[in-house]
Amino acid sequence: MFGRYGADLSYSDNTIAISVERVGTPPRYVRACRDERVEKILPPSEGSIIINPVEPVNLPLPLTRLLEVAFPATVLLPQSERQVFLTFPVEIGVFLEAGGDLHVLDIFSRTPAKYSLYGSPGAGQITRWHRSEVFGKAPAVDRFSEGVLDLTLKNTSAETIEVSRAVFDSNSMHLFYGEYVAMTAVMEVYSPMIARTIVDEMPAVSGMTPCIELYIARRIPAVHGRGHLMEFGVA
Amino acid sequence: MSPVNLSALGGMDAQSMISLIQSDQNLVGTTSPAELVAFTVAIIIAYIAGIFAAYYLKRHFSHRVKKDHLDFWIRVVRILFVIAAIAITVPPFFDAGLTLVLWILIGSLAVFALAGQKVIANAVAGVALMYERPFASGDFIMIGDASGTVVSITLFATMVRTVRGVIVHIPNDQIYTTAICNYHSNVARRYEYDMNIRYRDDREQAASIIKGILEGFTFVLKNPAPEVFVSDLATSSVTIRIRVWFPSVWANTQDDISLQTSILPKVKTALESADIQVPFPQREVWFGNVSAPAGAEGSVHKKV
Repeated sequence: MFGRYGADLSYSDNTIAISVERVGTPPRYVRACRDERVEKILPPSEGSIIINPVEPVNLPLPLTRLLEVAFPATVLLPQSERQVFLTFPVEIGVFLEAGGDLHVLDIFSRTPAKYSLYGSPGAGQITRWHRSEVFGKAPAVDRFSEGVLDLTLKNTSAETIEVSRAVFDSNSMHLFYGEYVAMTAVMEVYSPMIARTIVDEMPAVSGMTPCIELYIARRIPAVHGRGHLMEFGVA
Repeated sequence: MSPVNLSALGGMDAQSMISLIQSDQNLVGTTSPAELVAFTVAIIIAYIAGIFAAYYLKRHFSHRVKKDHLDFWIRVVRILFVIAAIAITVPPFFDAGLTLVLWILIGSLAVFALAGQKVIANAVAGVALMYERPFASGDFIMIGDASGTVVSITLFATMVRTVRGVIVHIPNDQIYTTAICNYHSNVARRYEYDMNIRYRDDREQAASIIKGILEGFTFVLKNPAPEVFVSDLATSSVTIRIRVWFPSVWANTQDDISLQTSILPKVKTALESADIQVPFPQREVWFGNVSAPAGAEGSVHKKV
């Protein structure tokens, strides 16, 4: 399903059905997923439909731009680092590329959303919450439901720290797809309260296709390379 | 320079007007016609420059700054332009005589002091609100009897749209001296609900069913986790209290209608499916002329 389509498109499985019919007038886009159906009339011009994973913070409402992945507590020794594999929810974006513009046609997901509060009600942040197990290698996942997060945990402090959550800013996310949807990130843990997550701009596995991020399609100015500072604890 | 008869200006043709401007005759005090024209032109230029500045600010900052704050700064910039124009062109006017200027100032202050007490109080409160920012445009607030979503904050009043769609103008000095409830300043809020079940129903099962529904509801926050517990043993029912946190921005209103319509019907349906009922109020009435059943305390009774 992921990819670029110049002509008609038709995909369906047990939970998702997408079709783009340019034959006949007017051309239309139809999508059905999880009891929700979207139908849009497309412009008659020649254009491409691009389908790829997008930052998983948009559904059901764009309440936050932060993704929180909770996982079983992982112990980090002082000045050490370890690589773990986690999962994250997948949201699928459908773009219409035509006339030199990239338009977000639709966003949908098979994964139910859940929100959480990171920090205190007064000073904290609402996050899109996802629970993951910790894997030693990339787990087998349904690529339309979950992606694989290759996370390197670095404890830069002089104390042993337990880490059980990572928070990522969608404005600096870089997603890739191939056999599965992937994101590679580093979490630098400075103390039990402070850490920084930085998403790599390169995929962990070569040959993967970079996704079009929403902040690019929507022309949202984003600061790259600085990641997200977690100020309310790592456990 | 000799003074000019101002009443004669209205009947002058263009040629005469140009001649007058080019002359060094005084119009007001020692102010020449050229200085008066410069003043007028400067004010017009300041006004036009203010329009362009407002357009520039809106174009470049409207997606980064809240509308009411942007409007406030646009007003400040436009006023600064006008003040600058006056500051550049007015000094020659003061040659008209210090006494006259002082009398004008004193008169203006007296008018403001007598007629504009409330206006000044509102303006001062407006500036204080802008500085302290107890709420912002888009927040749901309650001030006294009025509650609704803040539409805009101006220098003198704050516009609030009630849940019925009515715009209420609240003077800023009234806001500043009244307790303000802001339902949007924290990112998360907590609500409580009480559910009543019968004494013979399984309380653990009821709590488990409710927790399952809360877990599956998107907008009930994972952390802080929902709390479900027995809060009261009432006359004819066991009260189970539900505490949930949810994003303030999702239900940006004073009441919890969004949550009520989403969760409570599901809870009721799920409990009823498990044969856990909401009890009707019950009362036992005892009569003295009915034989007491074996083991009954007191005298005799009849349940009605």
